[in-house]
Parts: sequence; C-alpha cells; structure tokens
Amino acid sequence: MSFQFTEEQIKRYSRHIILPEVGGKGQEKLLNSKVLVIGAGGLGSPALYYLAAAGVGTIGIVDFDVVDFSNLQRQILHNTSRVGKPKVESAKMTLEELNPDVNVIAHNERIHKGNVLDIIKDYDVVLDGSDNFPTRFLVNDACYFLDKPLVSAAILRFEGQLTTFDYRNKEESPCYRCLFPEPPPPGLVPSCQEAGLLGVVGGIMGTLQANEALKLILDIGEPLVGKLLIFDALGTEFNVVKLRKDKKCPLCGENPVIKELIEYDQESCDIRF
Amino acid sequence: MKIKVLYFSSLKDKLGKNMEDIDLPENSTVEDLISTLKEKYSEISDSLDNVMLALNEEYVEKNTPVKDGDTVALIPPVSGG
Repeated sequence: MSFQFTEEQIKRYSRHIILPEVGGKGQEKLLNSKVLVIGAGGLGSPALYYLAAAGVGTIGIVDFDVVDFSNLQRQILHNTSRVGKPKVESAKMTLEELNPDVNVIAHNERIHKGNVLDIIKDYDVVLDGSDNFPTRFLVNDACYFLDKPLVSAAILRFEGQLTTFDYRNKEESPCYRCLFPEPPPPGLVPSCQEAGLLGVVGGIMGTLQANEALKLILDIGEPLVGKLLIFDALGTEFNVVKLRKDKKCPLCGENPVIKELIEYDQESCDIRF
Repeated sequence: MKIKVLYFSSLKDKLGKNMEDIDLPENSTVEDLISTLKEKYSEISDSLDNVMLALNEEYVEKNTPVKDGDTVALIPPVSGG
C-alpha cells in the first residue's frame, strides 16, 4: 500500500522528495521510523531539531532535568521562557511547533537498570546524548542486548567524538566496551560543567548524530560503523580512527563476562547493586 | 626510532600540547610507549591507563609493535552531552 502524503507534507518534505536518494519512499520510511534520543541537552537539542524537521514520525526523548539558564548557551531547543520547565516538555513544545507530523514521546525520568530496556525496546535507533559515563555504559549494554543501533557522541571543551554501533550486526560492529571496557575512575575525565564547552561543538556533533540516524533509516550512504570521528573546533579538523572488535571485549568478545545490565554509581563510577 | 604521539581531549588539556615526538628503542610496542610516557608524565599515569589507542589511525591493542615513523593517538573517553 503506498503512503498518502498530504499536500502540506509534499511541500514540507519537498527538498527530501526531490533527492533521488530519498524520494517519496524515503520520506515514508522516515515518517514510519522511531528514534529515541537520550538527553535533551547540548547534543540532544540539534539532533532532535533535525530529526523532527526531517519528519521522523516518532521521536522519544529521555531527560529528567529542568531547563536552567546555563543550558541556554547551547541547548537551542529551549529558551528563556522555559527556564524551570522539565526539559522533555520544553523539547516537546519546540518540536511539535516545528513539525506537527511528529509524535513526540517525553520520558521525564532518569535512565536506570530497571527502566532502560523498557524505554529502548520500541525504537528503531537510539542516539546517546547523555552527559555521564554510568548512563553511557548502561545505554550501550541495553542497546547491545536489544540489537538496537546506537549513535554515540560525546563532547568536551572544543572537541567531539562520534561513532555508530550497529548492534543489528554484532559480527562486524565493535561496541563501546571494545573502545573503553569500563568507566574511567571518577575525577579523571572532567564534565562540561567543570571544564566548559564551546556551544557549537554540541551543535556540530548532535547534527552529525542526526545525520547518522537518517542514513540508517534511509539505508543510504555509509554510517560511521567501525569508525570513530574526532572533531576539533579550534583547528576545524576531523580525524577518523578505524575501529575493530576487541576479541577480549567483556561485552561482545569471544568470552563475554557481561551478560546483565550494570548500574554504575553516578558519583564514584563503582558498580551499584 | 621516532614515534609521533597525538594527544586528544582531556589528555591534550592536561599536557598542554596535542602532539610530540617520542624516541623509543627498536622492537618496542605500544605498551612500551605508554610506559615511557608514564615515566615522563607521572602525574597523568592514571589517564594513560584510560585511553583508547590508535596506531596510524587504526584501533590497536597494547601489545602491537611500532616502527619508526608510526603515529600513535591516545584517545580518552569523553562523557559530555
């Protein structure tokens, strides 16, 4: 059965439909797709904005925080009138105004061992825009167990990192723990709160995350599977490092030891039971 | 032999530089490079244990041999979002 676009949709998505690589078929795929974004912050803001603009039909957002003045230097989904409001609500308002085709599902909660699988399971692609290691490792492991592709980006000061783990193809794709087997000791790697961030770095990396998601959904181009992109804003330099699966990886290696979700303590990065 | 070392992210910030040349004896491995750096920069020894290693732009494990002119990148994990 062919998708019936409204006249408004044909106008709205005309720049996609004209692209031979997308067309009406591709736009239909986008409207039928479901993408989850963890964090409505520096990475989440641009990612969510562009996913909604592109017509991703269902967009989930997970964030338990409220909008703060310190966010507004880079978290462009929000604005001054939203200070104090839950971020997922603020994000939902902005996205629905941009594109009413999108069904925005706001998960106003903190991700933990008990809810992560339930939250992730109904989505096609997951974007990690979280701001701490315990969440990153938890989301990674959950996506691995649920065979969900995970587009993971991280930012600090003037630098960003980005890769895509395609857990639908575990034979080929490395996982987060191939690169970093476990969270670093606390205090070793500063947060944006401690070390700062040039706002556009979030904008650039979050937009690249959306780009990855669109390529996965449309099945065009080459996602960054097996590659780590490192961006340096000061030199405007992109470096790409080829990744490989680590045979000794505790999650996806030949003798995996991680078979269950691990909750690391937010403060100390110790394992919390 | 001379190895070019690239420092990224928090490591670059801690050392105040993004690259340098390090002299290593022949038949050294990436692990030997890390040990040499730990001696040179004892204050960031912990950080050097928590990096992803890339040899000539490819992920490698610590026991991989290096040769003259190779580039090793030390990439710390980043969590900001």
